[in-house]
Amino acid sequence: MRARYDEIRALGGEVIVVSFEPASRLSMYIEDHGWPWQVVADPERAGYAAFGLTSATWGAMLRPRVMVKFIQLLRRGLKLRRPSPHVDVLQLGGDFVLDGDRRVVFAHRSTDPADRPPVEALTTALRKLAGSGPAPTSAPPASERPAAT
Amino acid sequence: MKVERCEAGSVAPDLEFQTATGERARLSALHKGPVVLIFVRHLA
Repeated sequence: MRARYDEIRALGGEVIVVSFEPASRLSMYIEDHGWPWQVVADPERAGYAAFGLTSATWGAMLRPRVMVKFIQLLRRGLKLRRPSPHVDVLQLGGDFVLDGDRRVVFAHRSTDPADRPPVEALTTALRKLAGSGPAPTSAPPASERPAAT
Repeated sequence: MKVERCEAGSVAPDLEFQTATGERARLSALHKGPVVLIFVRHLA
């Protein structure tokens, strides 16, 4: 995502990352990762619910591809932090592209923590909004695409 | 807040979030234009 951020901005888009961690913890993560985009908190998970994001099972969390992704992140310097008390560590995420009127033009709900759409799917949707190229409305199945970072 | 699940083609509600400084901000105020909205799981 970081490598394509300038492209996203050039297409008139902005990246907004939503976490269910308390707002008081966001600065720590932003500093750790050096994220250039906005990170906001949704501790009550109203947005997660609105976008239909559910919780995983432990079986999904322990899938081999999830473990592989986790090890890759550790090798890249991932800092492990204990989650805030009472947060749902099984909560899954999702990636969406909205137009300027908040109309959803792309939606991808993760089925496990390693299930992310390719960044190209997001930029293609933005490019369509900008007036060039067809836009996917969802990503192909995980088995048919490389894992995104 | 009860809302319909946001699907491709539907309009997302103007959700309220908290910024890192604790201020409340509506989605519509965070950026005027297309948005890549990424809901993450536990931050690490």
